[in-house]
Amino acid sequence: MEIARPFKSRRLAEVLFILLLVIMVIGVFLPQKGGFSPERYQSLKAQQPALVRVLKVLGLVNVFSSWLFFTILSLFFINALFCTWSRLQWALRQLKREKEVSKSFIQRLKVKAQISWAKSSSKPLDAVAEALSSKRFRISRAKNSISAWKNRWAVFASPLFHLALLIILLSVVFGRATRLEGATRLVEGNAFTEAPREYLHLSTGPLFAQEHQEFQVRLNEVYFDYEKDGLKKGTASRLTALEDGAPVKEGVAFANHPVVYKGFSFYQGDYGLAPFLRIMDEQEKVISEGYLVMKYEEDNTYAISTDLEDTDYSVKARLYPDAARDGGHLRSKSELPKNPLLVLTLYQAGNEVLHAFLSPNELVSHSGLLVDFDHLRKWSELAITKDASIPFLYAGFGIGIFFLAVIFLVVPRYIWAYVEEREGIVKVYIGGRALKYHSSFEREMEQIVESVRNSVR
Amino acid sequence: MSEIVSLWAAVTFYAVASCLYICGLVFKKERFLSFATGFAALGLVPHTVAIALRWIKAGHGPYLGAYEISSVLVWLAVIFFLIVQHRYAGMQAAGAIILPISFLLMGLAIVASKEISEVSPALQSYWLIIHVVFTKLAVASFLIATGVSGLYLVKEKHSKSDTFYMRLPRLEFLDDLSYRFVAVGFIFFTIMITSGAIWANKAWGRYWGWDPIETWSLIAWMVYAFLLHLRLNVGWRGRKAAWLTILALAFALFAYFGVAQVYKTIHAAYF
Repeated sequence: MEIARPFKSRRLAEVLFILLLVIMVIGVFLPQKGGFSPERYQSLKAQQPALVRVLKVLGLVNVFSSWLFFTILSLFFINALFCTWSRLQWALRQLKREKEVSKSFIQRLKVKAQISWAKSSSKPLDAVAEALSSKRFRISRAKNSISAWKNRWAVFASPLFHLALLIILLSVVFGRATRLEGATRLVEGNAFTEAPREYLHLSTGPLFAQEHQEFQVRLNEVYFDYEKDGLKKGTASRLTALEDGAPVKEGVAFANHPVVYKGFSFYQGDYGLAPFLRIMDEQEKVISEGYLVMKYEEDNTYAISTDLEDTDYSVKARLYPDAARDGGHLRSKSELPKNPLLVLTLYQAGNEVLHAFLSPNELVSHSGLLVDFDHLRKWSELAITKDASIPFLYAGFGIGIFFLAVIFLVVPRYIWAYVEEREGIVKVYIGGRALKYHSSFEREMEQIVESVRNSVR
Repeated sequence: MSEIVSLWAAVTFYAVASCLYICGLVFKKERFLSFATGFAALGLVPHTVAIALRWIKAGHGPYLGAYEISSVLVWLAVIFFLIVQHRYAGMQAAGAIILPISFLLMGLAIVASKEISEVSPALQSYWLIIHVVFTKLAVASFLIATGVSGLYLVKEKHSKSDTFYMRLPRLEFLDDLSYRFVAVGFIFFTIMITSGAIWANKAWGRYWGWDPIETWSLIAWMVYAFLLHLRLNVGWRGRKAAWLTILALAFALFAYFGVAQVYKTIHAAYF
């Protein structure tokens, strides 16, 4: 097809290689809006707003999501598709085609030799066949000629490697379009329902059409794993998946080990401690109650600064999980919640109304308020993903690596021999070709020719 | 013998080997080249001891931090080079390129922090071993390919005028050998990138994040893919392929060592 010609051009592949390289280098040199150093982008924007505007128009502030990048990738995909097809056809032709072996055909080959000797009782083609067999060539004999080949099937490696590239690219596109990515934060004993409102943040691909599943995942327990010296080694969360309130699956999420249910993967993320705080008025009417989700801050302590929902109160708190007095100075000996102490400052409409040191189950009364640090639990942040493309992607990786290895480690080699007998002289013309590593093929040919010479001598 | 003494002993042997290889090639003294190979092999002994001691002291394989990474890379590259010399005659002169680069990388190991890094929970995965081992195998293969390509260029320039260079392996053979090492290194590099992607998906739920090291690794992969594509489809051989092989190593080394020094990256903690 004429229309396909430009797309299956190998020159186009090379141009696209260069364009992809250039755009990727730009992507790592220029500060990127959503990259790993967004502060570099913010700084450039503050210093050179006009330049950033131009870069924005060109799609260069978010290169890897830009129309330019996707256009090049799309062209690359189309080119790879056509090349795969044409290479597959070429590979099939290589298998089917039987060369007509003649003296002139062999003489046109780059790697060739000629052996002559006086006619005797020995059969010249037998000697050639034996030499080729000893080198593990497969042989097809005709009256005066031999065709031999080795690793002929490996001609399919290149189209199949390209096919793997196509599978990978398609998987990436499919994954981006249908992916779900979110997170939730749970205190021990609480459950997350798989519904949009329950996510801490949620992003889905444009083709994510699936109904949310509404199953629940309960955080039963968070484990902090410590070294002997109190340094944290890792964190794990024991989760239970529930359907209509009944447990259906249990698992532990920790580093490199997500819990998977219905295609949703739950990854262990951030973690911390959560004291349960209750604030009441003098009549013990609850003003606010709930967990303070405190993040690790420094020196073995956890901290939070937040407004209390549906009230005009706000709170600043620091938790010393293993509190100790060190010359009047409060510190935490470790991250382990052995002797928790909550230092709490409560504000009403911005004015400080209470400052207290609270232990679990301790009730403090001050300025007409009752503050109760009821108990302490742990919390975990769980990253949640659903990506149906992963099995296809991994299949692409596997196929790609296998056939890449075949391309470069298993080289198809062809040898042809033609025998001519005239006036009592036997002449064997022998030649061949390899698809790569010509130097080692030449060495193999020399050994075969030498072997034939020795056997007819 | 302590780890640092062993390391310095290895560096000294490699330094001497580098000088002898360069002098051997420049002054056309084959005896120098033989001595250089001896020194390189001798350097491997204390180097192996240093790596073993480090392994015992750290309680984990030598794959964390610039010191461990550079040291093991050089160790592998020297082993690869000695195997090449053993297998193919006349390859000693390639050491004039391979050993000085190895020596410089050892310098990086020497100046890098020797503090032992703990294997954090995120790193406690067999994917780490696969990822790191194949990175080192890939870069070591690319380094050998570069050395062989350098030798190709030297031979091509001087072989008609000088018997010393004529005795070096044939140009076609050098071209093929460089091609083979690029190809094998490319397979290793591909395994490195894919294993990293699978591991990232297992650890964070995403297989690719355009982190600077990921991106630079992909750039280096594409440069080598481009080189192999040119060799396979356009018939690039000889001088052009040799120059591109040398250039490509710069990308691989930058991805391996440079990016973590220049960019903020999630891999920074491991370098």
